[in-house]
Amino acid sequence: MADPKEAFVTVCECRTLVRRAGTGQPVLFLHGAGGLPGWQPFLARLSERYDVLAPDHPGYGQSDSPRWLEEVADLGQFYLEFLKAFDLTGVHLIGHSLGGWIALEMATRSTARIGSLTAMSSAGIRVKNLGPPDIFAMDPDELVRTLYHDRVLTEQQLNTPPTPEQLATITRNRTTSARLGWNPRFFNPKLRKWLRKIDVPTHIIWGDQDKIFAPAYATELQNEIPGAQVTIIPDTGHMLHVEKADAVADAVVAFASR
Amino acid sequence: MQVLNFHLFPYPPLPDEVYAKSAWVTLSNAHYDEKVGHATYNLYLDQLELCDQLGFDGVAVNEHHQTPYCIMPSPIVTAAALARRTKGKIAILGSAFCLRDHPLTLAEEHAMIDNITGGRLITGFVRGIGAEYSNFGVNPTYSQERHLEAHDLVVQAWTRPGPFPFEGKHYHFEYVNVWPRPYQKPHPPIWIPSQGSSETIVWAAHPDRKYLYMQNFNPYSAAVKYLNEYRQVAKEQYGYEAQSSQLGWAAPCYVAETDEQAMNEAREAIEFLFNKTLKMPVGMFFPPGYTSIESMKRVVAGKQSIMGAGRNVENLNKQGVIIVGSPETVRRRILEAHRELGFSTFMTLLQFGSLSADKTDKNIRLFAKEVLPALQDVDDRNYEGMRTAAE
Repeated sequence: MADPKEAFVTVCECRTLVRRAGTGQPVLFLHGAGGLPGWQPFLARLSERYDVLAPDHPGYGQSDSPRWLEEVADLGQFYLEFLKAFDLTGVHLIGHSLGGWIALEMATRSTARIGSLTAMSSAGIRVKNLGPPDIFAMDPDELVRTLYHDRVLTEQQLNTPPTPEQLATITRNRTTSARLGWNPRFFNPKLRKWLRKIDVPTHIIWGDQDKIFAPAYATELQNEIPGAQVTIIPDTGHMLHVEKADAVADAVVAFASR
Repeated sequence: MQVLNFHLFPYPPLPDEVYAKSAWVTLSNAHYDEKVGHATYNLYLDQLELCDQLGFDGVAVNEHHQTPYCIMPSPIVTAAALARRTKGKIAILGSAFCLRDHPLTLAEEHAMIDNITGGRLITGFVRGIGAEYSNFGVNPTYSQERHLEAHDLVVQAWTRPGPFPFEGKHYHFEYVNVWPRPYQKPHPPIWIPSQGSSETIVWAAHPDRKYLYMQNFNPYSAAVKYLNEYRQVAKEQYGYEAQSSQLGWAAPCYVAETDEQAMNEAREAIEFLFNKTLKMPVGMFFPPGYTSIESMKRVVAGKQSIMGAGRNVENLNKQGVIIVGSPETVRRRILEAHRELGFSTFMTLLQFGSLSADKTDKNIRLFAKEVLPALQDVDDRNYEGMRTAAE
């Protein structure tokens, strides 16, 4: 597999890191609240068939923290500008968790450049009485155990303490996530009413053991987005594309190449 | 110096296991008993009234939310209950204006108390502790911004003839026109209680403000560092000599006949305060953005998951977080601190944690008789001036 090219682009006055690899139709992958630690196997798999772009969101990883960044809707607006800046059309938009929320914000604003939408373990709406646990109050170990279902991966994470550089990034990512998702906790109460206007093929992928957003969220999103299709990945937690990279990539490809 | 007695209104002890995970945010109010509450509120109000009668310059109250650490979510209610039954100052240390979406309601209430008491109110501006950003759903990454903006809003509401619009980032009101205006002019004294923060000192010491900075319940070394820092910032950054009236120090005290007896009598109550009622997950104490990225890194790195454990009365006393001993010892330690730091205000806490009604009564009376007069006697003539590094 080819290493991705990393380059900084400036969109909306924000210097943004973009990783890119592969050829074919464009895929924009939007990472979750924990950030994107690097080119993951899931992205490598997709880059075998697609031109995959995986940026660090403004406020995360190596991208700048722009002054305008106050809510997830700002990131939705930003990524519409991003697609324009790269002149991408027919984009397969894939978002995980917080990234799923960003993708939904984009798709409710404009699908002109979007070919399909994939929301994985997505934030953005609230299912009553099924709010996410308080990830900000958790200690680092408890957070890992909540995010992952796979025991081997969990142990691996617990036994790999972050380097000082990683720690700085984790801390900054966490602060940005709090700014975007503290209250209402990881959802936009004004988003749900517009989901029915999404007019591109939509795929909802969930781990059946997700302890952040229960699988009931997948059903709820399916009910709101016309024609949405749901794929449930068995024995998988919130970090489904990390835990089951091949299965999730297969599901993405099968849907996108219909 | 002036001496105030502070009260936290702690709820009486519950079974140990109740505090195991957290005494804040998630400790269920199913454990609250209204009969205990009724008795406790009235006991504590009596204790503060007693301090007023025994010659303290004032009493001070505090605000915390959804915790048995402090069953005083509204210090306004306490201050109102005290207003007509006391003669001395009433310090609200502090009010978390910035936790409110409408800080003007607090501005109005403070102004009412200032009018009822004929200008005996002191107002404290605080951000609230980290956990309270969970209670109120206020975004902690805006804590500092909201704090500063709420301050500007309230001070303008108190000083500028209304109506006028306030056009801030977090607060926007078309009509600011608070009735009543405060009794004191330009407004009640503003004190800034802090656990120690250079940022706060630079803000409080600004010539437009010159607010009293109160170093709160920390090791004595922190008082030395931050009170001297205030004087330095005033001189080097702003070009004026800070007055001692701009500085305060706070420490819980327990006085008994001998040092040993004092330690023994205070032990259980103080250890309950520090080890049980301050317990909470670290991530809750330091929500993201509430403190600097540097402090946050330590939190994220830390495997320590619970605050508040393993403190004992000996260490706390040695560090000067608390002052426990015979009248002679307690008097000497506060006077020595005053000689070294020259603060104008000492705020003590004579009921703490699970300290019983009897012991608190004894503590208040002994402190008032044997310690208080000596403290009220000293002023700037007893301050030896700031030591430079060479000395």
